[in-house]
Amino acid sequence: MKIFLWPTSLFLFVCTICTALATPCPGPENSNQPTQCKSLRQYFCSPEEKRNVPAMTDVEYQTSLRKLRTPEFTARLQGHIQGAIQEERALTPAQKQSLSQKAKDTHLVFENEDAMELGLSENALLYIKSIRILTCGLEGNVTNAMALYVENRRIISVCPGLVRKIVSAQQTSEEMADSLTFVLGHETGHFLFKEHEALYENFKDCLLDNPTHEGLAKQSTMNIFKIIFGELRVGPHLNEIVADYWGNRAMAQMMKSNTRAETFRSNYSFICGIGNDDDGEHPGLDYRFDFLTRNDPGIAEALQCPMRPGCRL
Amino acid sequence: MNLCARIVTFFLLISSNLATPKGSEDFHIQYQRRLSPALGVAVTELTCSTQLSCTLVEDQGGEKKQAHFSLTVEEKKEILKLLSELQRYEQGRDDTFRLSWKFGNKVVAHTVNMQNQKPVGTAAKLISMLEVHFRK
Repeated sequence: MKIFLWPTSLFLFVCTICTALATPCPGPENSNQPTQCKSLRQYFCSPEEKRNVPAMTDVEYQTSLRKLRTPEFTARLQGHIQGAIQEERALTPAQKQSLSQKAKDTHLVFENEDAMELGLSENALLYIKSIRILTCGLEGNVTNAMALYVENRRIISVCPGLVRKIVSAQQTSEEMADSLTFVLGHETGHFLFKEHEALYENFKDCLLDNPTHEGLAKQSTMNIFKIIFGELRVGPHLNEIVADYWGNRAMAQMMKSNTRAETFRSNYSFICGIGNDDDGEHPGLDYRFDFLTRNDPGIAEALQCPMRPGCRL
Repeated sequence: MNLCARIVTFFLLISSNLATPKGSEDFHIQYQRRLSPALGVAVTELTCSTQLSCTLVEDQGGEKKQAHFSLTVEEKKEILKLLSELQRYEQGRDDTFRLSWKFGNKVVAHTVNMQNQKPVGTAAKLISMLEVHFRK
């Protein structure tokens, strides 16, 4: 009997050690901290947060669109994104300049007519129109945005559903730019990743080494396997993680001049989506909010929550 | 007709019935848009009876949007044509827009290649044909 017990005990012992080594220790959460520090996901994705697009007359929508097409909107939004790039300590001046130029050379398409002003071919315009039917729906009511390259142009297609969700006739161009900072920072981040993948090597290595990335691997039950298959997990998510990184950085810039809690929360409410599970490219919500967002020093400070240790560029 | 010819005709009939959807079958199409930067998808489903009485339901996670309508035989033919055209294109690698459809016993799933103008155009034609019923 003892002959059989020994290997079993040894196996259990090894498993326990491995699991203990791979499990992150709970952080020193202070009970005096504001409630949002316990779970940013719960703070942003409250049950009353519905994804319904509010009804809006055509006149109200057109009025809102006019505010989005102003130089004030562009300047405000670019200010947040450019500020985020310039503050990035790991980047050289040349790298900052390159990223900054790419962010500037990004075109926002709220309606098909915005694409017509870009000097694109008829085929390209038809392509954008078709893409918008697929991603926004024929009526345009889907709350969605998409970064795409068309004839070497960087284009962010913003669905009317998203515009309707954030605007009200009272808001100024600047307030509307603030409300779309996370979404547009995230979509711009896709370009800043795809065109500069080498810049994110250290960031990726850090994600692989950081045990808190366990949020990326719900399908794996044993931590030891999570470590072994780290590359398989982080790789497919990297594009979205980097996009969130830039979205969060832009948000931290925005919050230097706009401290309204409502603006802050509404920006992140778009990520809440329908579920919490990792979809293979977007990490789960707990990971995105309580690791990636809490890892941003500017956001952690604004929320009065301790910054989570994590990965920087 | 000799026995051999009859056997060949029988198999041809069977195989053509399996490959081509018959006009008198229920059919079902489901498609989903992945939402960015959100986690989650908006799902739309079309269900049509043999009499071509159809229901289209869109679910973005909030209130469901519904439309009831009847398709003409011509419209059904056009839908079939667009689906079989879509099926011939190489599939995309990301799941920005995915479709699956069931005609009789035939089940097909397809991920649209968003980088390629042709499948995007075909899928957009199909979606326009269906979602126009939300406007009515």
